[in-house]
Amino acid sequence: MAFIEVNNLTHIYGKGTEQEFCALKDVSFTIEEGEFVAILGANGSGKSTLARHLNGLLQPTEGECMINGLDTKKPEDIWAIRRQVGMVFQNPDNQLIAGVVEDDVAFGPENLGMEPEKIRQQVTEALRAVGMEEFRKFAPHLLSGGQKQRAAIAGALAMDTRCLILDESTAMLDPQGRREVMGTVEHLHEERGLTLICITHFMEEAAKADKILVMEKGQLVQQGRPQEIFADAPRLHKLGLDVPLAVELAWNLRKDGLSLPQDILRNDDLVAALEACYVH
Amino acid sequence: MLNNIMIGQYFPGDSFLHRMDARVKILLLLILLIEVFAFTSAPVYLIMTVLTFLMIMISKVPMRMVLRSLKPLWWIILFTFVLHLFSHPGRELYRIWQFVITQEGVEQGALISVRLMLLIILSTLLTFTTSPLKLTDALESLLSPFKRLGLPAHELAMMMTIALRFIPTLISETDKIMKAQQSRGADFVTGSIMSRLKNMVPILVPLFLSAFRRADDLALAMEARCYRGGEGRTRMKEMKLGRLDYVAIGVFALFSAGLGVSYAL
Amino acid sequence: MSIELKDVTYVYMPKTPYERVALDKVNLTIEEGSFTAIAGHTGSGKSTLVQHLNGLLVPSAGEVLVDGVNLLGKDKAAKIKAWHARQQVGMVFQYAETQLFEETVEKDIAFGPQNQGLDEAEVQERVREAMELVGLSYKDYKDVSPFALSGGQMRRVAIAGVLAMRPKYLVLDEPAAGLDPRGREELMSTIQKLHKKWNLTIVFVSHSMEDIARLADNLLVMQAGKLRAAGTTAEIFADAQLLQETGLEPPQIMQIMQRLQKAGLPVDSSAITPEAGLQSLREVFHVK
Repeated sequence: MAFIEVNNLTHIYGKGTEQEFCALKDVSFTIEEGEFVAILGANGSGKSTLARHLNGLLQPTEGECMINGLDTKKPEDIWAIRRQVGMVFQNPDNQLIAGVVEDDVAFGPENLGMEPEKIRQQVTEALRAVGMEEFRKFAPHLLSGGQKQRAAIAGALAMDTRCLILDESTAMLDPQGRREVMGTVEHLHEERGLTLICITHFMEEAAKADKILVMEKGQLVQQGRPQEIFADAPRLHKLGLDVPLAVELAWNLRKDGLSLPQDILRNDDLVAALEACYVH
Repeated sequence: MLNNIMIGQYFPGDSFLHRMDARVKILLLLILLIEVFAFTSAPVYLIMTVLTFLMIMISKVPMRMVLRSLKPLWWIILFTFVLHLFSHPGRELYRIWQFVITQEGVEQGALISVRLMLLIILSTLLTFTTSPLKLTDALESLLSPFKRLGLPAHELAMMMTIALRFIPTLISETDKIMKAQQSRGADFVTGSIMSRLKNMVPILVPLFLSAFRRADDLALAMEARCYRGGEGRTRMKEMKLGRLDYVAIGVFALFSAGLGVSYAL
Repeated sequence: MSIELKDVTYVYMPKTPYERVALDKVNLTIEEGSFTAIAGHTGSGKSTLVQHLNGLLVPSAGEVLVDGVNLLGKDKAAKIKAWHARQQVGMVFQYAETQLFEETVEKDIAFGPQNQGLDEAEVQERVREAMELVGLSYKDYKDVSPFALSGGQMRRVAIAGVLAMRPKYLVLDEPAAGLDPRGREELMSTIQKLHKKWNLTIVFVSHSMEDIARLADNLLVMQAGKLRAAGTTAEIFADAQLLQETGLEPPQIMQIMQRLQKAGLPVDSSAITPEAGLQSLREVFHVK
């Protein structure tokens, strides 16, 4: 049994009304514990709707969504699911609830009814994990965007989350904030085996994933390793998506007749391949 | 320009008053305020004033800041004083046309003015030494016995927490929207009151829309973090009465008793 | 004709515990017809700087001149002149769609020109023109509620609202922030068109060195409230030490080309756009 199993998931907003809108159609995939998965797709392709099924914020109209053996449709399982699957949203300003960082990180554990002593431990540990101990007593509006998002990650960690969903969590950040947040979650992924699901428009972030899911108009149109997904650059452009620069350059040079390996993904790969090519 | 508004009156510190339990502070303040009303006499007010000064010194809040809190109400205090000067029959001190200032008037006016100042200073001392968050928690705790009567104590406190958290965010948002509309030639300064109100529409509409969007996002984020109301919720920061609080309560009880006895005599 | 800043200093919340010098004796000139980008870390003073360009912020010391007119008019005549000068500088804020408030796209875009006191026919003409400039069909979109549009479209309506005032200079603060790749691409080509085809002078604040390399001719680098460097985009990007000290990352393509050059390949390491880089690679490898 995989950690996340989505089977024939369909979601219709406002079913039976005039505004009926099918946001997800017959989507199926699995995610293993400890995997790093990126979800790509243009705005309106259903990425966020999909993400919100994974912690039971939305329930499938048809099909099912199983998290670690728990069914998101069962009301009695929902809290156990949300505890295991944490979510960091796009706008850093709209997800911190308390007026002080440590109180905010404590919000989740408090909702779960943990003992005060245990909460203090969880908060300290979570803030340390994201490198935010020194901002413990800060008010959120005095933090940078990247720091706010790291506080939000700590809020999930304090609930002992096993899987973190980043729903375009870096979209509103400057490059430094983006590096901070991605650095933090990658570290957690590597050190603790945290399952990572990353919805993003930044292809360099997606290139680091183990697996990429591509969404279009509510359907899962492709899934595979980044090398496989990015191999067909024109197709991704057609879907309104980018490819990493190294992939784009390699694709163009290959088209011009230069023989380069197929699995070029990062700048390192491209530089190495071109070097090898030049020597010959 | 809106950044200049300071939020809350909290003056961070580590004094005896800061460290006291917020619930104890609220209750003692309430009793103190009742005493101020109940024992209207010059000796009592003198003692009260001394006590207030002592507390200000203990709190280490600069006197200047405390006096500043009186500033907005200065006129009301003065007005009350003047009103009392003329409105008590008794020994005539001075006469302006047909208005008579009496000895009793001066005494009453002084007492009432001191009473007003005591009320204000004592209350601000609470907000100066208690962070808004602790204040909210304390109110929730104090109001929770009334839950059985249908008072949504937890919800009220949560609303206050969120409001406090979002005030700075909404202020900077307002600033930004105002600047954007000013760049499009909007004018918020000149014109009649009606036209100025009308000119606020380009600010208010975006502001409300954004507030709703934020509320939506926040509700989702709270749900994702397992929020389901106050039921079964614990708190990281437990409110426990410490030695400090018992000392304060004891001293206060002695003080009140002494005050009551001396007033009765 | 140009926008000129002379020794502009701006002190944030003076005489409070929060006092901070946000701009420190900044001198610069933005020539009419140029495309100038402003780069720098968050908090380096970029946003404070651009808010001086149309008088939203008044310098604590120094002066701002638009086409030679001081934005801070002293007497009544000078104030009127200053008002007209400010109208020459259009300002598009970050997440500009948050300024929309009217029921229809047309009404919203008309807000600016109406405030300028233009008659109805002229306003309508301006709205039509502005919508075409940002690539929104007047016929199809004028009666639509701006809130029913996609994020990218909303942002273009907001930009049209500024363009309808026919500014000579257009200041854009992070115009593509938060858009998806397609929205980004559309917006970038719109901005390029505004500059090339309609001769708008553009001031462009961005964190994306890729976008700056692609669009801008000149680059100003801000650091801790000071103007750290000014020059052509190519010059600034060629100064590795400057980039490192100001914490800016050169465009990806430049990083690749520099590494190839270090490895002994005769590539053009000054290529700052992917197109230029690709061209150089083609020459080195004799393809096409």
